[in-house]
Amino acid sequence: MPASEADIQKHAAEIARLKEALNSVLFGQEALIDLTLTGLLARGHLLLEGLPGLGKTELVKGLSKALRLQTKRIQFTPDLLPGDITGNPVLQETDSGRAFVFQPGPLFANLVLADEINRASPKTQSALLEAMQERRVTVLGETHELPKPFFVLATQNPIELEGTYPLPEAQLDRFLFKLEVTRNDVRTLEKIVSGRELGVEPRLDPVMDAATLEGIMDCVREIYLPDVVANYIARLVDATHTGQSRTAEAIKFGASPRAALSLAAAARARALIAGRINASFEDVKAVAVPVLQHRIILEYNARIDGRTNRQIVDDLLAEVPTQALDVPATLKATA
Amino acid sequence: MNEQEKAKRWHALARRMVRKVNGAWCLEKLTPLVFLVGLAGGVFLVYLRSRVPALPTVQGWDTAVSLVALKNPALWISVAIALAVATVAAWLMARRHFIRPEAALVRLEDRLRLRNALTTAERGVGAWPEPPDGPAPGRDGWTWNWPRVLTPFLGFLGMILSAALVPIGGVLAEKSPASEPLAWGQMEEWLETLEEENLIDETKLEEVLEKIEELRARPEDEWFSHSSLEAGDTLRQNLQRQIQDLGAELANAERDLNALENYGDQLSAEAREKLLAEYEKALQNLAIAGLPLNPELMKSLKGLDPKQLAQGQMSQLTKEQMEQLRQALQKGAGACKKCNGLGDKGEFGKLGEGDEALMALLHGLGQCDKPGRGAITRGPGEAPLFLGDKNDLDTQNIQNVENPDFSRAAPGDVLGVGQTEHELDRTRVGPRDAGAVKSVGQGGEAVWRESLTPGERAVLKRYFK
Repeated sequence: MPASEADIQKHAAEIARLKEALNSVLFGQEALIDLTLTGLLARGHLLLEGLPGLGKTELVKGLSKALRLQTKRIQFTPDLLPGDITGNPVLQETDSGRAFVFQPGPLFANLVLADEINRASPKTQSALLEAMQERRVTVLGETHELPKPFFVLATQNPIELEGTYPLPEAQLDRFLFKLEVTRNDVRTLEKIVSGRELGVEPRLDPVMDAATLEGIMDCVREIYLPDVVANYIARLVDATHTGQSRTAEAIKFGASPRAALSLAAAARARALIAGRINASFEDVKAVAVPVLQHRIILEYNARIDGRTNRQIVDDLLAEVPTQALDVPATLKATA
Repeated sequence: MNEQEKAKRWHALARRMVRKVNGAWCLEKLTPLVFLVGLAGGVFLVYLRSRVPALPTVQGWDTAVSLVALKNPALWISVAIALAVATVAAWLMARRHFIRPEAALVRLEDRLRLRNALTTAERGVGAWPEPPDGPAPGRDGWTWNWPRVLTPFLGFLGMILSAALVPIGGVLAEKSPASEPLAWGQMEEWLETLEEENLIDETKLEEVLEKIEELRARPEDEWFSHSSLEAGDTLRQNLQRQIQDLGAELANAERDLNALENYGDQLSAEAREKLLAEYEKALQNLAIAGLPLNPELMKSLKGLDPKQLAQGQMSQLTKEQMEQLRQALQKGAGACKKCNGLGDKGEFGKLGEGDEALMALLHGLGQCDKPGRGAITRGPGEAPLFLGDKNDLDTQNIQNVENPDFSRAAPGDVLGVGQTEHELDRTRVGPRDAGAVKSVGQGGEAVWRESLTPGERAVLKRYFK
């Protein structure tokens, strides 16, 4: 049953207020905020990649304040163990005697900032990624549900890669978006210098609570996805595989069906943010780069040629038409 | 405007686009068929014009006007039927490409940046957006490709009009007369030559000419039939043989007269008798030849007594008459040679090759320009310049060139042939533990593993340049 027009407009207004609040503390990152909110509404985890000091942590803090969510931050290091993030059973004196009592780790929060995720060992990365997928952790045979909503915003640094453990493709696939945090322009920097002071956190009043956010996320699922848009998503994902498109010659391994589901969910979330009752081709195009760029592996030739995943996804968008329609030569396209 | 009116308007726009796209597909499939129908129709029209007298065969606008005026409705009806069949076939072929109004709505919403609002509204989920005001030709993003649409139809018209206007009648009128078998003309040339020389009896000439005319009187289509060609060739061969015989006999008679007149007193009695016999025989052959000699010439020859000539007497003929007679014989023999393609410049008064008896007679007189046959006083004559058969240059005998000195062998020479076995690697290869194989391979396998593809090699070269 599709959501009503009124509900959607109401939720869109709430999201607009949230965006406005975040933009007031994080200058010049409107596109990043848009995509972050889109990812959250689609119940996805986000991987932020960018140089230090560009506002990645600030974004997470701002979100936690504005949404009044419980937030934890984990600084990943090579000696971090899975138990350090999931929690450990601790021997405690209780009324009935001594017993192991589970002490929840930092994963038990609504919003988890996994800073420099690529510095942790693969074992710890796997523990986090399992929690992301299942939204629960199991310690000593005992399963513990994670709080709802549960989001992981992981960051990784594209420089100083010595001693890091790059996330394998299977684990990258768990992230809905991979967002690149870019530097600010002069005007934004000037605004930051004038409006902010080093060491002082900006004040941000809560805009909504977790229950409201849950309600909006439920509404996202009711956004109508037309058949033609679903068909476009399927053709787009299929075109990432060798032999299915001209662009795919530069791709060694294409995107998975999870990528198609992610595209649909993100397109729905973007439609709701825009106050529309249905997802569209434009929504799919807008989220295609963050959804697909970390899910394709380029060929050796393409990498040596200096082509990036983002460029390849852009080429795919240019090559795959929104509508699979045969046009005879007796008609010609106009500008 | 309420929702129903909006939906109605959008559906109308979608249907218009459907008609345009599906019509374009029909044209796409129809145009090659139209071209083919035009080609076939043009060929058929040209064929009709060249074969059926009822159709106009004169060139110019009369033809076009008569055709356009439907003077031959059967032709136009058949072209119209072909076009109709082509249209149906094009529709059948194009049908699988046809789009539906739903697809047209998607195209419209994509072009008008309506963010799939039309598809959503069509499913009853959302509201219809406001339809555009008035018609907009480029709204669907397609325009007609007129050169692609019109070219085949113009080609169709061009081919039909060309077939109607091409000057077939003119070509027929200026057709060159049919050629006749070569043998007839050849025989007529021979007879004309013989007639000019006044050598043959005219009745016989007319008889042969009548036979040629009989052949020519048959229909032109039959001139080159097997029977006609065979009859003409037989007649030509007979005539040629008769002319050859006549020429040979005339040459013999002239030669004999010449020998008797000029060398008669130097010949032995036996030789003179032989010449006289030859002359008599030539006269007899001339009398019974297939081509009878001119009666006057025959009478002159018969009136001559060769025995008196041999004894140095002129009989009843004067020297001038004798000379005229010889010239007449020479001209007659020359004409016969000319007819046989041998030219008319043969040297008369000399003996020909193969006339061995006469040659033997005249050897003692020094009149022969060939090497002698070895008389006691004359010797064998000049030695021949070529020993053996001068036409056989021994080109059929092939000899191999061998070079037994291997120190000077050329590249490609075989130095020796031996027998040996192939070198086989008989090392036993069995199953191995996984991971135990550390070799990168051998030979071609190693090259395959450690080499780059041409594309990769090009990229690396470009990178390190």
